Amino acid sequence: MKKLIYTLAFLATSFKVMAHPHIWVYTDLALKTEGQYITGLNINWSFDEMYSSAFMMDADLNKDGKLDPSESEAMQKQVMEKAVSSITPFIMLKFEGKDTFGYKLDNLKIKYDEESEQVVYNFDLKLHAPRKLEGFHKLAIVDKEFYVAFEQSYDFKIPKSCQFDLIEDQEITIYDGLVNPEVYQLSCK
Amino acid sequence: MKKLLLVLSLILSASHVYALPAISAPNKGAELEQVVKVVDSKTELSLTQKILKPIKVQVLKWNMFINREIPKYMKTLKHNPSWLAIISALFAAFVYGILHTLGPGHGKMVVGTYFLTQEANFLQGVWLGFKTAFAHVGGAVLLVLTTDIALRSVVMNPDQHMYLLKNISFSLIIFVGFVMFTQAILHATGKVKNTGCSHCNHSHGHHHSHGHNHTHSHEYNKKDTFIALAIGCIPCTGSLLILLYAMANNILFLGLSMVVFVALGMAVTMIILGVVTILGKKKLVDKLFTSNKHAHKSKIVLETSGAVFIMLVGLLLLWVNL
Repeated sequence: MKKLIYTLAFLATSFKVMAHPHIWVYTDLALKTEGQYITGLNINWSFDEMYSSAFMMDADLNKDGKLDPSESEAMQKQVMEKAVSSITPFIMLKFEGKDTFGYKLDNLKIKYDEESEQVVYNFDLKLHAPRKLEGFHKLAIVDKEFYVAFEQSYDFKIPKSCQFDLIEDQEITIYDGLVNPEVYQLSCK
Repeated sequence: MKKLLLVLSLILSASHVYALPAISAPNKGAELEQVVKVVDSKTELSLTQKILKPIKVQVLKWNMFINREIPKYMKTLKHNPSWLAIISALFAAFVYGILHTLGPGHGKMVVGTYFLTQEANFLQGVWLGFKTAFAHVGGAVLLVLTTDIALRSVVMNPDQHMYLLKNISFSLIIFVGFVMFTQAILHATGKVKNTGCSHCNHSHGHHHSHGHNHTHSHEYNKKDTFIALAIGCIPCTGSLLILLYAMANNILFLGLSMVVFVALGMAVTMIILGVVTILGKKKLVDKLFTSNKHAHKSKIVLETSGAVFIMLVGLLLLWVNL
């Protein structure tokens, strides 16, 4: 029995539980449509205060605690230049069961809300080829490493002919099976 | 042989794949099912997974809770630095440190293997826990206070920016494994009598009377320091974020105090790991190996296996990172 207890003690101290995430992003999405077609998304990311302060240390060049237009522009340029590695990997789109990569990111605006102490990204995702609105679609913003935790909003702006569920998708897991990421399941008539 | 396999299986149980560094994000949009793991409902979880998963999920929840609370405490410190706010923030930092150390990483595995296969006392377990924790947090303090780099990108993508440090860390692990391996070989050939080896002087007819026992504590300290550096030299991202926030809001002293408490929390977890492993070794492994006629040989095999295992872990980590 003693041996069993010691063996279990070893196992208990050696197993790994996850310390992540380190960065929190609160997201808001709006579906962009033209007639019966989805043309893209408007995405809004509000970063947590800790990351925002790190961001501002680099961005706020005159150290006035604000993000001036020129500072904002410089950061927008930097972020867009690296969008392929800093934004795109988190976005996953599945229209009618088909994964979609054909899109570009545009109109990035970066602001700093002094009251909430949060940096906010707002940008458009424009599909190269519009997709039929009718059908079942899955949209997710996920970091598979779970270094960044994306909190999805229930205020998903969609056309009247659509409805959505924000669910922890049990079919998919990240982070060694510990997390089922939140996914928008969108169905439109 | 069975006993050796038991010990090796214990070591291996501490080394699941998520001890490896994270794979970088794909550089283009990714298929949902490629990026995330699709759960096959037919896949049966092993008994260990079934037992551990709810515990892991619960600790993850606590972790997420405390990670979210830290900015709130820091905001309160900034706007209303009362004693209550300070004590609450320091306590939160301490809990953060405990939970943070339970996170993914190779550190616990290396320390566990080290104590499982080497001779060490409880004080050494405590000391190594402290050194490792303070090295990990100290790296973040140094980075923030002495460098002038784009910290935003460091905290957003630590893997990329800490590439060199990671290589140094993994090389040090290989080095420690190599030192342990050399000592095990010297022990096997009778050129060195390992501390705590009760069989060395009488089990196989040769004596080690060349008076070198006094050097063992120094050797241990050196190995111990290398292990602490190897594990701790990658700066703690959580502490980095706390310090950056503190710096940006002119509460640097409070930020520094908080990361000291983060380090204390980390030290507590590492100390518990070290002490439990040493205790387990003394009560289980040593008994298994001292109770048979091949005790000396078994001990050497155990030391050598531990050394080789640590070297392999270091090599694997380095290979993945390069």
